[in-house]
Amino acid sequence: MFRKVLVANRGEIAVRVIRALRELGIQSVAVYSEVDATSPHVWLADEAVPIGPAEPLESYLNIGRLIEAAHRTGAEAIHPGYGFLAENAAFARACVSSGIVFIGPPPEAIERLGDKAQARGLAASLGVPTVPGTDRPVEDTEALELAHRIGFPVLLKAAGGGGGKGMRVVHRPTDLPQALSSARREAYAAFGSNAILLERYIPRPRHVEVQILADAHGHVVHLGERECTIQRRYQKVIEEAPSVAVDDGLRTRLGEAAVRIARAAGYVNAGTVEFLLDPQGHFYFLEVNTRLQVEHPVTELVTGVDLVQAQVRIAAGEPLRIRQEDVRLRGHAVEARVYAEDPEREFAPSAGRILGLWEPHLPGVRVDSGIQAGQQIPLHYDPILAKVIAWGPDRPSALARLHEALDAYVVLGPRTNLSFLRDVLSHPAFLAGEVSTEFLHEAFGGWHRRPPGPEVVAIAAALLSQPTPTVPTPPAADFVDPWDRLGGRRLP
Amino acid sequence: MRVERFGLRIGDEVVDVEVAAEADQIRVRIQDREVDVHMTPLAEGVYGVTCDGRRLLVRAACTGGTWHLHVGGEVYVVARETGGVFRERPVASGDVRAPMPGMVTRVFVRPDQVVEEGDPLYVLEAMKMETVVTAPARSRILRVRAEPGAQVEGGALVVELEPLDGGS
Repeated sequence: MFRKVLVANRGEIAVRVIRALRELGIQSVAVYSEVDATSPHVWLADEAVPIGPAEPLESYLNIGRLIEAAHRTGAEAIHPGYGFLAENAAFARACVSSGIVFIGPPPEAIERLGDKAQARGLAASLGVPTVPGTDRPVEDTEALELAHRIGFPVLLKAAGGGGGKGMRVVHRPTDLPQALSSARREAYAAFGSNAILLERYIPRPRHVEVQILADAHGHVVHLGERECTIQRRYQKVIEEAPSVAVDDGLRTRLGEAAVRIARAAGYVNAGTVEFLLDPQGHFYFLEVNTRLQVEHPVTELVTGVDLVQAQVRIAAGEPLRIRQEDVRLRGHAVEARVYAEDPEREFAPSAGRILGLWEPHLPGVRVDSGIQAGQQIPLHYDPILAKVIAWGPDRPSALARLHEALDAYVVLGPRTNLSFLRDVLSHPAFLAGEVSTEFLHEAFGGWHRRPPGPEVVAIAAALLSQPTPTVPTPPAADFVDPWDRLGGRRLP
Repeated sequence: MRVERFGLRIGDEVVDVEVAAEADQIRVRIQDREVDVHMTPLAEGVYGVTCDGRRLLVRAACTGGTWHLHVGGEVYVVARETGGVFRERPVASGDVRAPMPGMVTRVFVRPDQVVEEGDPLYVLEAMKMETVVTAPARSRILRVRAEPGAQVEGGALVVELEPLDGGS
């Protein structure tokens, strides 16, 4: 087993990985950019190394600086978390060639599967159904003809990564050039590659994905599915396990398809095989995420497997501790992602200092948080602050617990989506499990939070009328909420 | 008994309030309604509040005269209204302000150009997401205030334009 591991990430996932390392008795090294000096992962790890300016290419995406930090601290392995370099084969290869273990799949498997076109080709060759589309990145000159051949509406996707970055639905041929160039820029900024794929857009699908674990000794298991249908702008918001749309028969077929793809790709470590499920119950292979997923905790809660620890053990050469017949799904788990954003204004990111923070501590509730009071939330990275995950013996009890937990989650400072999430969790269609990936857009398009009642105005007036605040003012003169400024004065 | 009247800004609204305080008993008049508030500080930023007989746990933090308070599962940002400074005319339909803070990555228009409703004006990038800001109506571009690479605040006026009437 490793003695020391560097965590090449930030936020809640860095905190999650550092805690898993501590539980395994492994020392941890955090890295941080200039704007992350107040972030909790920096203070939690045994060591912390500054790696450069806020700009991701200068810090969290800078392969040279990360490898150098590992060498300098004597870390034997690097855990990439998710996002940033987690699905970057060049990074995995740079680790290997510098004598550092990359906690993830081998570079060849990342290349084979991380490239969506190649992955689709592989799935199709194994008899796994795929959505009609291009099996290689498209050139600008041929895009229109290919889109016509596939049939509108078409979906543009970044070949180099997921998370909705570089993704566009195009309904009309005239919109294609603009959407394509915008998708290319976004894909380049997020993944360093502007390669774009085209595929048929399947309306009203569910998004279901299968967690797999593979060791270096030829064992591959699947840990059931997660449903990630509640999305906005292709960004997952609420995830659960198991899926209400998957019965035992379908679960077995999905799991076997996922395992077949993993074996054929020579996959090792944790991975996720994503599928679209249409309203008729047909599934289509989407892509493989060759990394830990944001939503991995729901699988952990229903299977009892710690996926991060499993990743570390697999990377250290240990065989899997479970066989397929040991995998049992127990109860139901639901996760909500807490974002620093304003749901009333097109989910615009919100930044600034955390002025006050109270996180929920309730039975059956897990909070994977990456924030702390006094921290400055930077604008440069993904706006995820924390994940709240609730377990219950069945879906209704898990949902009730999650609702209660979100009610008890208080963040003062940046705007968050907390009350939006609670309204989503209370929606009859969501409670009934009758949703598609269009659900948030359709049911919560013009969402507004409840207007303040007279008691809120009265309490606010009472606070403002105090001659001196009984609450000490935090040293937060630099906190500026851009939305307050908007109404406040005319900007130059 | 201490009595004062002021405008209270809560979100985008301004409400006139009158606050009468005697020891820890506070009576707030909002238009024709009176609400009794009793506040007990429990810890830093935490108050037990009795409001017209209802008991509420309130979390609050103050920064630069602005209070962020959490009541009943919702966060409100409140401040004293100071002499009408905060009440500005609504954003004119011709102003195309940045919907969020971020970096302008591309600008598609130049002064004097005429754009149609929905035409892209510029691209704003924040937290790795691109937003294309489009023309709200058929308009003439008056001025472009930011170049690609410029960091702008949310609400910043990036492109000034003058709406043109329909037709050609």
